[in-house]
Amino acid sequence: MSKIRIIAAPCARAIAVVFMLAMLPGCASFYVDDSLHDLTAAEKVSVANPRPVQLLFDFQTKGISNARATDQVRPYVVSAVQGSGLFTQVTSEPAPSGAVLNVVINNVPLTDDAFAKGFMTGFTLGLVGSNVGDGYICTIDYLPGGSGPKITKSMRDAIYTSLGATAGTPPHAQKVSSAEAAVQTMVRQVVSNTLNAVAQDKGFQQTVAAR
Amino acid sequence: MKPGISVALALGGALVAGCTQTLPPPQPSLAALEILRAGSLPRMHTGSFAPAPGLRPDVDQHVAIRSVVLNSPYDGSLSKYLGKAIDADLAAAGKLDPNSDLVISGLLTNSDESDGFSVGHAELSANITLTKAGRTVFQKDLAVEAHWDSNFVGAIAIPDAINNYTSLYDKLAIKLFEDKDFAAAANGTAAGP
Repeated sequence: MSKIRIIAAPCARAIAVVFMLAMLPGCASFYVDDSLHDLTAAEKVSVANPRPVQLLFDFQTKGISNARATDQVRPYVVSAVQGSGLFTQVTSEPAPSGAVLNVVINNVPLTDDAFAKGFMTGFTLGLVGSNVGDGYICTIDYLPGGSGPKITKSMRDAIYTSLGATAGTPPHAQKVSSAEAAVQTMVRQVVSNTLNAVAQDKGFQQTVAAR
Repeated sequence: MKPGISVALALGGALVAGCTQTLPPPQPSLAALEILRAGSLPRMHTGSFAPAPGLRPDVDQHVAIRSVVLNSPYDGSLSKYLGKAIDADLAAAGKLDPNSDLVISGLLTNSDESDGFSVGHAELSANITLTKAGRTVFQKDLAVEAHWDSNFVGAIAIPDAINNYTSLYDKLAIKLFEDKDFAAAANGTAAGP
């Protein structure tokens, strides 16, 4: 069991308090990288005969499944897949055709010293500002069922958090109202864009007889 | 700030303060689904999952990760959580049939997590049995473990430890599905244990 629990627990709580101070409303602003955008109707691939699909989703932190985040982010992913119009039904059960869509969003650090930056901002009660970034790599696998080959596409997005009074605005990013809005926006954009790339693949077009 | 803080803040999932947390329901994985499909296993279902005789009761009840105590949503039993993890993969692969005469059961033999200033380690093991029409056709001890870079700072170390520990349940399920003896027993091509 935890060998350093007694030493580490007070430390963890103290840091949590520092974090929360830094995150008080007005102290933190959230931005989503603008390299991806919400697809227009003209940009979306359409299919002539959409079929049901079984959706699997895994949110990872540095490549390791994060069960709690998976549970909480899943509704955003389901919404993005349903909104693509590529499938008649999105279900957690096996689809009649055997088609499976596996969505993985892997949260990776963008700045190695992100923790130190956040700590300094909190420690100085926001006087020393900083920007930190979270990277998200979205990988979508589509298994058409039967003997069709697996299709895999991947895209990246990022969320930036500005902490403190002197933090600048991150370049190439759109400001959003809250951390939750940042996550919703990032998931919607990275999933819909990656899924659109899957739909553009010749293999996908053949399985659904695209127009 | 650690990676993922945006998600943690947005969803109230900051895992740094001392508390008890319940594991979310296990999710099926693509790796397990592909193995189950490729292996042409017959349909089956899970039966009893319980702590092995002699196992300290607290090992089945929870795992402590520094100041966080993790427990199971299924009667507070981590062995039952393992059964549900196997169930989730079987269901996703279309291999779950409550009426099948093939039944997987298990006895939890170990569940542990420890982390120091720089290295984390977690392990999970169980004795898994497959019965066909009530007759044991497979029985084996299976164990999985995880190692990762840990951190003195709990705000970084605790979420990493939780994720690595939780991932062991899917790893153990995959190890079972990959086991050639298990596949042979399930398909009726093995003599039994």
